[in-house]
Amino acid sequence: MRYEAVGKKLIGERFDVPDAYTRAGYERDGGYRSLDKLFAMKPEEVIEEVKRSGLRGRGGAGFPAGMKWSFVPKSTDKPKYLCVNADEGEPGTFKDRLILEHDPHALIEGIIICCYAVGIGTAYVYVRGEYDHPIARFQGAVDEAYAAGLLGKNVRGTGRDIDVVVHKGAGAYICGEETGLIESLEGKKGQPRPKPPFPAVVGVFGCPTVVNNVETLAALPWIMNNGGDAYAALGTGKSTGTMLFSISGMVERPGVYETEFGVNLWDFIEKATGGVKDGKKLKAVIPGGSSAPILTADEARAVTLDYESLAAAGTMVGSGAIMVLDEDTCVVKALEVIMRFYAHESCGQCPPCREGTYWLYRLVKRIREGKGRLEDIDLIVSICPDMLGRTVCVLADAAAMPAASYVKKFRHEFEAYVNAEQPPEREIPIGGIDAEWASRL
Amino acid sequence: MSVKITINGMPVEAPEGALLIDVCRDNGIDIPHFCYHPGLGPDGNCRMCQVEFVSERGGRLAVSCKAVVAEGMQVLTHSESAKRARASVEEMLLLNHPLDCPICDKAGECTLQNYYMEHDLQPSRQNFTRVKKGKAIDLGPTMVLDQERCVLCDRCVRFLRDVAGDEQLYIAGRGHDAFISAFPGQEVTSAYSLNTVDLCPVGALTSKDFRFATPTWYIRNTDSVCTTCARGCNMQIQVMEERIVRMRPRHNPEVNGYWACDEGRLDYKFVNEGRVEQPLVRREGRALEASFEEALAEWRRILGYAPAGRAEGPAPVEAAMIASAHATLEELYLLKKLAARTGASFHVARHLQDGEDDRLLRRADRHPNARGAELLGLPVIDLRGEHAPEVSSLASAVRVLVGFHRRVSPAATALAANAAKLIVIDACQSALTERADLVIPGLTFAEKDGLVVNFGGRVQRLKSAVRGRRESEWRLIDALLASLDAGARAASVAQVRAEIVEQVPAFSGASLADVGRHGVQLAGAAVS
Amino acid sequence: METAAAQKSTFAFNAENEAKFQALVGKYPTKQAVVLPALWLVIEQQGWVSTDAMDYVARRLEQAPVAVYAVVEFYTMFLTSPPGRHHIQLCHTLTCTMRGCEDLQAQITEETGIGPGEKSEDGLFSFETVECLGSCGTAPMMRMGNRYYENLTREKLARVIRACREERDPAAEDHD
Repeated sequence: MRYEAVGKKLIGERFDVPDAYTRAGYERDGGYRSLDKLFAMKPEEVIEEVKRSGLRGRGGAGFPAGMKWSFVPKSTDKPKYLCVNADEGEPGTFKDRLILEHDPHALIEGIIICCYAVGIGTAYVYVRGEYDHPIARFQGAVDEAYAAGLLGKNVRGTGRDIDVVVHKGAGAYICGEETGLIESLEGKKGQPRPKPPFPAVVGVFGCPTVVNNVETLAALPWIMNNGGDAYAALGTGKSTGTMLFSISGMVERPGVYETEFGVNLWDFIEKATGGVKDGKKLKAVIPGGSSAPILTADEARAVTLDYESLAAAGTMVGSGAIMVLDEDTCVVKALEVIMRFYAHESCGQCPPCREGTYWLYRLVKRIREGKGRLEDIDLIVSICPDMLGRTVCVLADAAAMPAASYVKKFRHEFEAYVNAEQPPEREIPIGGIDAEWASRL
Repeated sequence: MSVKITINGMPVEAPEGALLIDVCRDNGIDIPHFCYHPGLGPDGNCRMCQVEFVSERGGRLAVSCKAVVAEGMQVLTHSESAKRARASVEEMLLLNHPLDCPICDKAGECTLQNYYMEHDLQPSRQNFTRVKKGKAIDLGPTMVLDQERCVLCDRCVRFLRDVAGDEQLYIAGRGHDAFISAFPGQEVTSAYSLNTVDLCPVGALTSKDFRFATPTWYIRNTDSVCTTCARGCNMQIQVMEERIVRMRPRHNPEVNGYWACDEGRLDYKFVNEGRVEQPLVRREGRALEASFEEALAEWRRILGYAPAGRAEGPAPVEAAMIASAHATLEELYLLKKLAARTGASFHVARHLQDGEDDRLLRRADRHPNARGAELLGLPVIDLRGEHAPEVSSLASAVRVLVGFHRRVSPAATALAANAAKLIVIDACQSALTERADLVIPGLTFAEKDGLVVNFGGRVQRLKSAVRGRRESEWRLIDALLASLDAGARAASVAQVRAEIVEQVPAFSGASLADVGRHGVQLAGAAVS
Repeated sequence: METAAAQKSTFAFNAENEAKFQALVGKYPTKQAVVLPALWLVIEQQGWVSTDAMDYVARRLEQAPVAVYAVVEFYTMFLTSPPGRHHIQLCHTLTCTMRGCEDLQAQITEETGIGPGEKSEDGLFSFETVECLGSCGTAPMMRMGNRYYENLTREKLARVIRACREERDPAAEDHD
C-alpha cells in the first residue's frame, strides 16, 4: 500500500523504514523514549498535555481525546479498560492497517501513555478479523514488548501492570461503533448500546472504559516527545496536527497520504495522487468515508480540509477516507453499492435502521435497474429525515445522510434512469460504470 | 425523595430514580412502546417510546424508557416531532410485516394494529415484495412461531433468559434478515414458555392451545385465580360462549408478578369436559338421576335422618367427611359446621402428588387452599401417596368426599373403597363418582365465587367466569344445614364470609367482604 | 442446558488449541468474553463452525447454546458450512466497484463455475462477495487463504485460480 506525506510527516515517519516494526528498529529510531518523561509526570499532567495538543479521535467521530480521557471517574474501585478500535470498517478507510503493519510499536507506546494517564491496567486491541497480516505484525510487536518488560507486570519498574490483549473481530462493521465493539468484546453480538451511560463511565464488563482509534493513540508518542503545543501548532484552528487520509477511487495513485489540516481539499488530493485517473474530469468527492455526504467537483475545489470547514459544507472529515468519482462514475450505482453496504451491516436492533437501510437500498437499486419512478426519488428524500437521530447508534444516520446528499446534488442522474426509454442492458465494463450510458447524462 | 419535572407543560412530582415512561403512565399519559415491559425492564431498541426533551438548545428526541427523571426535566410527549417519530417507527415496522391480520390470533389485541390506528394512519408507501421468513414454525409443545410477523423487540429472548432462566430463544442473523429461532433441532421447553406469547406484542409467537380458537373480540374476561398449586397466580379467565378458551396471568406484585406457569394456565380443559351433570342416586346397583331436592333428601337418609322435617341431635350413623384442599373457604367453613352439627369427623386432605417447586412461581403443594384449611382450624391429612394410615381410623359407615376432582390418588381411592356408603360431591367424573351411592355435581374453580388462601397467607378470590349450570357446593351444604336446624339459609356468599370473619379467630378483622382483584394479605399468616 | 447434540458432540479442541484456550481464559474477566476467541480456535482447527462445535464452546464457557449460536450467526466470518479448499472473498463495496470488481466477479464465476454463496461440486472453491476489506488503495482485491490479493487484474486472477486448480501455491502468483 502506497504511503506518502504531503508536507509534514508525523504518523507515517517510520512506514518506509523496513525494520521499524521490530522493537530494535523502533528503538533505534527513538521509539519508546517518551516513557522516561511519561513516568516522571503525574497522570493528570499527561491528560492536560493531550488536551493541549487538541488531538481529536481519528476513527470518525473526531471527539477530543484528552476530554474523553477526563470523563473517566478518578476514584472508582472498578478496574479501568482501554479498547483500541482497530476494526477499520468504514468503506474507503485503510490507514490504521499501515500502523499495525509498519509501526506497531508506536501504537504500543501510545497504549502505554494512555494507560498511564488514565490508570488503566488492560488494553484490548479489537482488530477486524480480516486483517491477517496486520494482526500477525502487531501480535509480534506485543510479544517483543512483553519480552522487553515494556508490557506486563511492573512495566519499566514503575510498579504498574499494563496488559495488551489482541482480540479478533469476525466480520461486522457495527463493531467499529464504540459500544458495538464493547458488546462484541464481551462475547455477544455487536449491537450498540444506548448512550448515556457513556463508555467512560460504564463500558466493557461494566467498568470505565476508554475507546480510542489506532491512529489517535499512535500520535501520542510524538505529542509526549514534542509537547502538546507543538502538535497544536500544526494544522489549523480546532483541527490540530496531521491525519492519515486514505485516498482511493478514480485517481492515478491511490494510497495513504498524510497532511496537516487546513489544506485545500482538492489541491491535497491532486498533489498526493496525481489527480483524476487517465486525465478524466472530476465529478465528485466523498471526503470522509461512505457515511459522509458527497461533494460536487466545485465544492471539493472550494473547501478546506478540516473538521469545521467540512462540517460547514454539510459533510465531515470522518475516518479520513477520501473517494474520488470521475465523469464516468455513475452516482446512482455508487449510492446503490453504499446502501447495500449499510443494509448488510445494520445490526437489526432498531426498526428505523434495519428497515430503513434495506428500503433505501431497494429503492436505489430499482432506480438503477431502470424500473424506478419519479416518486421513488422523492421517497428516498423523505425517508432520510426519519432515520436521523432516531436510533440507538448512528449507522442509520450514516446511511441516510449520504443518500440525501447524492439525490440532492445529482438528482439529474437519478431522473435520467427514471426517464430513460429502456434500462441499460449491456454489461458494465471495467471501471464499474457504463461509459456510453453515462455520456448521455 | 422526588424530583420536579414538567410533562407537556404540566408540573409533575416524580419519584427519584423512576423511568420517565413509568412516570408518564402514572400521570395518565400512555407512551407507546414495544420492547419495554415493566417486568423485563427497558431495552431501548424499538424507538417507539421517543419523546421530545426540551432544553435551551432546543428539542431533542430520545427514548423515554431509558430516561431516568432528573430535576428540571422538560418533556413534550405529543409534540409534532415526537408524533412524527412514532408514525415513522410504525411505518418501518409495517414495511415487511405480512398482511396476516385475517388469520392471525393477535388480531384485536395486537400492539402493531392498535398503534397504527393511534399513531400512524397513513397509507402505505411500501411497494416492494415483502421480506419472506418462516411461517408456522413448530417451536415445541406449547408454541408456534411466525417469523415474518416478529418486530424483533427481543422481549421473548429477554424473558426466557432473565426471568425464566431458560435461555431457549435467540435472534439469529442481523439487519432486516434477523429472525427469532430456537436452537436448531431444539424446542422451547421452558415451563414458563407461554409468557412469551403474552409478551409478544404481535402474533409472531402464538400458543398452540389457543391458535385459531376464536377471534379475540368475542372473548369475555373474568378476573380470578389459578388453582393448580398453592400460589394462586392471578389469572384472567377468558370465555367465549360459555367455554373457557384461554387463561392469562394478571399482574400482582405480591403473588406472581406479571407471569404464570404453563401448567397452571393450561389447566382449564377439564372445566369444559368430563363433568358430573346431574345428581345420581345408586340403589340396588341402579343409578338414577335425581333433582337437587331429591339428592338432599337422600343425603339425610344416608345419614340416618328422616327424609323430611326437622331432625334432632347428631346423626344416628357415624360419618367421616373429607374435603379436598381444593375446596373454598366458604365450603370448608360450612362443612365444618355440618360436621359439628351431625357429629361427623371432618378432615381436609391433600391428595395430589407434589409437583415441582421451581423457586419461581410453582409450589410443590398442588392444592390452592391447604393454608385456608389450616387457618380455619381444620386438621389436614396426607392422602398423596399409596397409603394413609390415618384413613383406617376414620368412620367407615358413611364417608363424604368433597371436591377431589380428576386425579384420584391410591390413598383417596382406598378412602372410598372402605366406605359402606359413599357420598361424593365433585365437579368431575372419576373412579370416586363411579363408585358413589350418591353423587352430587359440584363446580370447578372457574364457575364459582369463593375464597382461597395461598401458601403465603393471602386471601384471593375465585370469580365465576362460566355460568355454572349446577348449584354451588356451598349453597347445597347450607341447604342441608338449614334442613337440619330449621335455621335460616344464608342469603349470599357474602353472608358466609361475614360469618367466617366473626367466628374464626384467624380471620378476625380481615376484610373478606372486600377481597378485590388482588387479594388481601392476612397479617401473620404467612407460612415458611 | 445441554442440548442433545452436545451429549454426542464430536468436536473437541486438539492439544494445541486446548493450551491456547486455557491461556485465553486467563486474559478475560468473564467466560462469555472468550466466546469469540474460542470460535476462532474452532475455525483454525476445522475451518468452519459446526453445530456441535457451538455446543462445545457453550459448554466449555458455561453459556447457553443459543447465546453462542446467536453470536455465530451475527458475524460473517464464522462460516457455518464447510468452505471449499480455496474460499474466495471478493470485496464489492464502493471503490472496488468503481475499479472493476463486477467484472472480476463474472470472471470468477466463469472460471470456477460458481456464483456468490456457492461451493463447487469438486469442493475446490467456494465464493462469497464481502463488504469493504480495508484495502481500497489497492482495489480491486480479494481475500483468500488468510491473505489479501490486491491490485487484481483479469490476468492475475486467472493465474491465481489456475494455481489453485493445479495445486500450486496461489500466493506465488500474487505479483504484477
